[in-house]
Order: sequence, then C-alpha cells, then structure tokens
Amino acid sequence: MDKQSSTKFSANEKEIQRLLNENRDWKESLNYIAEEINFLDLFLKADIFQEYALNLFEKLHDFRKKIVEFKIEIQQLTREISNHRHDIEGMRECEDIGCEIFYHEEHLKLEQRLKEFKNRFKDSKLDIFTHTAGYLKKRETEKTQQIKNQGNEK
Amino acid sequence: MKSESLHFRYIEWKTPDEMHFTSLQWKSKLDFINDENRFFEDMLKEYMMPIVKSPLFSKIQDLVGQLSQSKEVLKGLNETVNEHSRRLSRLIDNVDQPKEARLYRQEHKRIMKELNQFLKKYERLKREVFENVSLALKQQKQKRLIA
Repeated sequence: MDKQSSTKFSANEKEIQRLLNENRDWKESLNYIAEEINFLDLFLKADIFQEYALNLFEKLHDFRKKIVEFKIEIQQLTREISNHRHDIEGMRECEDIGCEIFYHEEHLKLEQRLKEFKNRFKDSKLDIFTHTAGYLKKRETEKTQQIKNQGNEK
Repeated sequence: MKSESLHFRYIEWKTPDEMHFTSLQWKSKLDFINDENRFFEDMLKEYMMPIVKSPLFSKIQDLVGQLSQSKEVLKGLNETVNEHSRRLSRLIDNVDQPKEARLYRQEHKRIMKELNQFLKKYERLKREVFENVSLALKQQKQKRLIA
C-alpha cells in the first residue's frame, strides 16, 4: 500500500518503499511478458504456416515446448515475487542489520533471476521471429483471386 | 503509475563507464525492438491484411501505419544514441570539461526520458497488435470450422 507523500519516512522505511516499488515494477513487467507468451502460444499454434517448409514442423514444435516452459517459469516467478513482497513488508520487524541484509540479498537474487529470465525470453522471441517470419502461408488477396478466376473462366 | 524521477536520481553520480554501459543497453534494446517491429509489420501486411475483413481490416491497416511510424521513431532514437555514445568518447579524451560533462549528463537524462516514453508507447502498440491478431486468428479458425 502506498503511503501518502506527506508521511515522514525513516531511512529504513524509505529503503523498504524503494524495494516495494521495484517489486511492483517486476510484477508489472511479468504481467506484460505473460501477455506476450500467450500471444506467441496462439501464434505458434495457428494454422498460418506453410505446410511443406523444410524442418519447420520440428522448429515449431520446439518453440511451443519452450513457450510451455516459459509459462511454468513465469507462474513460479510471479508467485515468488508476490511472496517476496510480504518479506519486504516484514523487514519492518527486523531488529538487527543482519536481518535486513538477508532480505536485501534475497531481493538482489530475485532481481538477478528476473533479469536472466527476461534475457532468455528475449533470445527465444528473436529466434521465433527469425525462424517463422519467412514461413507464413502466402495469402491471396481478393484481387489476385479475381484474376485467377477470370483465367479459369476463359 | 511509475515515477520517472526515481530512475533519474543517480544520473548525477554516474561515471562515464556507467553511462557508456547504459548507452550500450539502449542500443541493444533498440536493435531488438527494430527486429520485433519489422516482424509485426511484415506479419500484418503479408498475412493478416489479405485474410481479414472490415472492420478488423481498417484496424490492422491502422496498426501497420503505427508500426511504420514507430520504425521511423526508432531510426531517430538509434541515431541519437549513437551520437551520444560518440560524444562520450570525445568527452573522455578531453578530461577537464566540467561544463561539457554537465551538458552531457543532461543529454543522457533527456534521452533516457525519451526512450522510456517510446517504450511505453511501443508496449501499448504491441498490446493492440496482440489483441487484433488474436481476434483475426480466432475468426479465421471459426471460418474454417464452418466451411
């Protein structure tokens, strides 16, 4: 819960607020990535790719498998980030610096995992873009279809 | 809502090395978005536009226009970031230039703000692409089942 700006924070309270803000940003970015994952899932499953492209079926299969793994991982990360929020709030109860350091380290570890996850997801996305863009089925526009029909009538 | 000032408060303390690293991160991000933008634009133009019918067609057409605009913005941002990186190396060569250094930091801050604004706009655009392409794919599937 955000405190009013008029509230005076102690140094520790300010730090807790900073960690809470970061935690909220992480959650937002994971929500966005979850939307991207859902889109890629739908995209890869759709009947929009050429049927006889060499190795495309295997590649699509691998990409879908990766997407499922990302789905599981993002759920896990979201849960951990949500739990970590309670830990940060619990920092107020800390009685010594060791306790605060412990939660800080947990925060940094989680941040590192999130970074690593985002990088892996970015690489996979690039892989998908590179290996699928050229294999979309070629669609006929109404105009080309009309021309074709006229040719058949003749 | 994210407070942007939070991201900027350490700029005054950033070393040239750190600013250089940030510039490299910007470049990498922009390169990636460039590829992604091209992918979406091609997908909409080559595949989606021929299969969808009005009113989705005009929405997809509008999205293609927005993606091509964002390509132009990306080009401009890329040039700005490249020039910013080049200026940093010149700044390091002429070490005692406090005024220039201050101006450089101001520029760093301005680019960061510009980039953040672009990223937010681009995220919204991508969301719209997701929604409309998902809708088009669903419609296409329904059509196939009926046929």
